[in-house]
Amino acid sequence: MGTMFRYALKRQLREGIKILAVPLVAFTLVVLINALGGIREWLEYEYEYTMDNFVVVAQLSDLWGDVTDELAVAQDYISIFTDPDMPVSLYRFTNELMLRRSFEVKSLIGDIGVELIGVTGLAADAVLASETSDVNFFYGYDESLMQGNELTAIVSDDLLEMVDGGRVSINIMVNLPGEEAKAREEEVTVIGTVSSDTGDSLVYLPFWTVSALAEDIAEAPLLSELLSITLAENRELSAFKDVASLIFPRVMPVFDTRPFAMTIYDSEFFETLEPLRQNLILVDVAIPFVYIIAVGVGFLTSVLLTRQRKAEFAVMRSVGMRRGSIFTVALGEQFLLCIIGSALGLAAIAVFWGYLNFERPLIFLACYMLGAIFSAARAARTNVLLLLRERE
Amino acid sequence: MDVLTINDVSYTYKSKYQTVKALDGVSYSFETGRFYAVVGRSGSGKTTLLSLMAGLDTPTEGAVLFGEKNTASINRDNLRLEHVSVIYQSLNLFPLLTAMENVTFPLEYKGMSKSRAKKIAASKLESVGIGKTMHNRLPAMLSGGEQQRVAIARALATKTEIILADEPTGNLDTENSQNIIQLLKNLAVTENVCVIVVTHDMAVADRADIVLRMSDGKIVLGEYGKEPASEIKL
Ligand SMILES: Nc1ncnc2c1ncn2[C@@H]1O[C@H](COP(=O)(O)OP(=O)(O)OP(=O)(O)O)[C@@H](O)[C@H]1O
Ligand SMILES: [Mg+2]
Repeated sequence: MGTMFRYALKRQLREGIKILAVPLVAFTLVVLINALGGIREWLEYEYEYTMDNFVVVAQLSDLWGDVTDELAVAQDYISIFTDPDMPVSLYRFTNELMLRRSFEVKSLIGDIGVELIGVTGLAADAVLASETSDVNFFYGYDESLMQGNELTAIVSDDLLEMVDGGRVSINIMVNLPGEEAKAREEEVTVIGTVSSDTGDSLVYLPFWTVSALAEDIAEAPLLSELLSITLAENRELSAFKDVASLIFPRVMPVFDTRPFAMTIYDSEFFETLEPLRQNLILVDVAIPFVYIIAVGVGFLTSVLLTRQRKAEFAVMRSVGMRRGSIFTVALGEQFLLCIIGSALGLAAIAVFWGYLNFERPLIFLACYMLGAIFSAARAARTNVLLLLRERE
Repeated sequence: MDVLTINDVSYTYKSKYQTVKALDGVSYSFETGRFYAVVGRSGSGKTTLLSLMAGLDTPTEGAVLFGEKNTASINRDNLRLEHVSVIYQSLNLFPLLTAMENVTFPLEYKGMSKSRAKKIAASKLESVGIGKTMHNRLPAMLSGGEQQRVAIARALATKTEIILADEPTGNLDTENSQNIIQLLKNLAVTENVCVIVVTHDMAVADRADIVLRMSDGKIVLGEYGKEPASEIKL
């Protein structure tokens, strides 16, 4: 075997310019396939990045976009928000009083010192929003998210790890004007977490929270034009839309006393995503296509090269080389030349693009060899007699 | 000693549209140390016979026996590798291997060491008149006669008992042709090889120990040796 390949190599090196044919084809196709692969990975990255980071906002409003001051507030609700100056502030509203009182939170679950970010019973409405300009003071946070009749909270990641079943007990000191400060313990449900390692606080609300909230909103007598929901997981967008469409039917009676609508601002998201998706499909079609081309080219080149060398294969046959040996040499030569070209292609892409992927060139190699097998088999079956007659 | 026996051999070429009976019940026994010439009109089946003897195919009917063994039931590639050398009018050599490499290749393919193969090749090339200066030439840089010598050197190096040559001098001038034939003839004697040469050239046939004449796929005259072969009517 070694002998055969040593001689094959000797003769190949004497081929002159022809020796470049297969490596050049392999080089070109490997560069092509890896360029496509690189593009594919970039597109995929962009796609995932968009999925992960694009902020899709769903906003609840009345149908006319009117001021919501006039909307009825059916029951009490409390919101507590942190504030740079006032570590935790609690707002309490009733539909009768519309009063704002401030409380001071003394401790949270013993004295662990973890910041409680927000506690709320029912979301604020426009009244709250207009009264307090700092309601949305940290990024991504919208107090109106936290609607419901029980006390809910968004807590920091660390705190969530310490609590059981998503419920937190807090001690709050209630300072009402003209009254003595009173300590009160409240148990609240954790509906989300906030992390603030970047300086900005990022609120994370799981999808179930958002959809549960959406249902609460639908049932609540309270409406707000300011309620906005940020989707934490854009991949759930269509599921969210399904839920939202149940709660917020498209067509509302014009004279409904509580007309409201939800607008999901996702057009920009899809405008970003769609071209990426289409290009991905395109590349995904193009790559197998190149593989098919590789089979064809492998077939063609090897047929051409083998045809040229018919006489040599005839000599091999007549000096008694076994068919298997001839097949192996013919295929082995193609393999070697192809692998050299592929390696150069791989190197070129790695140097100029910094992109390295072995899988696709290997598939390419396999495809090329698949094409080459046929001609190697033909070489092995060279009919010395027929060839002699042709030459005569 | 009979080294190659053809026993009532027939051979038919089959194509889609027609069949050609190239050999029609040929029988003959070839002995070692003899120089045979096969003559006959074009299309009489000489090449076909030779290729059956070389084990490039098996007879449609009858048998080709190498020694006692039927070529139909042995490894015929091995037959050529070890026992039978074939030399054609041209195209005998690997065009991109040097004269030396053309001889050493089958030796090394058989498993001989590189250095030993080289040594043997050098001495055989020498014995057919290919000097050192030509060892590293590619066949294209050798004359037709020199190419045939290299092919003969290869046959010698592989130590085959039978050398089959199909018009080995067909492309050569008279002088070269005579030299090659002399070489083959000497081989039969000195190396005790059975040499079978197909030829159109009566001057060549005249040098043979035995002349076989073929016509329509049959050997019509064997054991000729008394009259000059050039008298045989083709
Ligand atoms: N591959 C083939 N297919 C069909 N018929 C063939 C084939 N090879 C040879 N023949 C036919 O078989 C017969 C014998 O051919 P062969 O080549 O053995 O003759 P030959 O004596 O060597 O002739 P030449 O002196 O021209 O070389 C001829 O009629 C020829 O046409
Ligand atoms: Mg012939």
